[in-house]
Amino acid sequence: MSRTLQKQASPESFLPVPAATFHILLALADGDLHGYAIMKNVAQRSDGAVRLGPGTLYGALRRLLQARLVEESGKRADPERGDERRRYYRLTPLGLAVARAEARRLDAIVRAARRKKLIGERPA
Amino acid sequence: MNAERIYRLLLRAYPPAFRAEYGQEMVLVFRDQCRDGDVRALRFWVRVLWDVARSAPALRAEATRTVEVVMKLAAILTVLLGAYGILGAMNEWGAASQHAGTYVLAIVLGVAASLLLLGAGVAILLQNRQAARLALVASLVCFVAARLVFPWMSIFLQLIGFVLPVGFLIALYWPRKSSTLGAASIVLVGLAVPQLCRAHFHSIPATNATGSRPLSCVNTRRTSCFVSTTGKRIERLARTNPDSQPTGISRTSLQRTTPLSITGEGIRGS
Repeated sequence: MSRTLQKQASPESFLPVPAATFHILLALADGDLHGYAIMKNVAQRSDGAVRLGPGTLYGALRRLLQARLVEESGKRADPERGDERRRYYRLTPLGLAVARAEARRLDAIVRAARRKKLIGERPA
Repeated sequence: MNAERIYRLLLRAYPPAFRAEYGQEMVLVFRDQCRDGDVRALRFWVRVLWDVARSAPALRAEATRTVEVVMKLAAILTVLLGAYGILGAMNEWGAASQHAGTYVLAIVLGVAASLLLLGAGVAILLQNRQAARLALVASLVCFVAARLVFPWMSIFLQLIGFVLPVGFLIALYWPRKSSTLGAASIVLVGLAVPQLCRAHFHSIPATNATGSRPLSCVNTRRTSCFVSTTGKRIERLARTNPDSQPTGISRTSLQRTTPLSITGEGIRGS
């Protein structure tokens, strides 16, 4: 994820995006979330198949922040989780473009797999 | 020991900078996990340990790469400062008309310290840590000896001679915790050196009232990179024995400015 600023202009230069990172981008596509909300979102969407620990999550978030795909949207308390103020994160326009580009890339792969009848009506 | 305290201990596996930035957030997330999960279950702790074991080394490696770049820049700076020290010592030698025993010894020790510093910089660039450590320790010893033999050493030189090897030694001996600190101290010295030089030179007037350059100006300019306070030597010697001429000071430079007046910078022509 450590690309040059020149490369950052093109969303395709970030592809392929690591699975954990793509899950974080997908979670943030819903809106601003704090760390634990991102973890919960990822676990729920993947039916528990992808579980991010705090180290993996914040390591990925740090790289996303450095690449300017994600930005902090302030500190505030989550009414559901007590009074502690938490950092919220949101996608930048570049982050959204990268998420879209990665989704298109994966979609093309899935369509190819479907044409080969590896998945779909007759899964292997 | 409760779960949060254990997790705080585990957080020490992460690089200090990362911990400072995200440690509190990670503790908050862990607290949420404890609230929603079963802390007593073995599975819970296996997941926690797996997360730390997987993410901490990767983040450590990233942090080390940054430090390596800083260390290389600092090593280049050290090579330049070592060369500068040698040139300064040669300049000082040329400026002096008489060479007393202690003066010669101080110059020799100063050159040795500068050479060793230069060698340490080269060794760091070649990634020979052991050689770099030995050269730095030897440089420090030579420098301390030079300082003891010749107490009129400039603050500029003392900063380079003491802080640079000590900073590097911290960086090379404690790579896990203090390498960033060590490398940062070296860079700070590098940044401070031009400022000190500028401040040092600007504090010296170019000419005095009679149009001739003050004595401290003549001597300090010529010798600032190795022994900048030759003027202070005169000051001290003038206090102890007003009739004596200090060794190592050129007769012509003494004759240029008379009478002498003692100022904060040493002796200046009035």
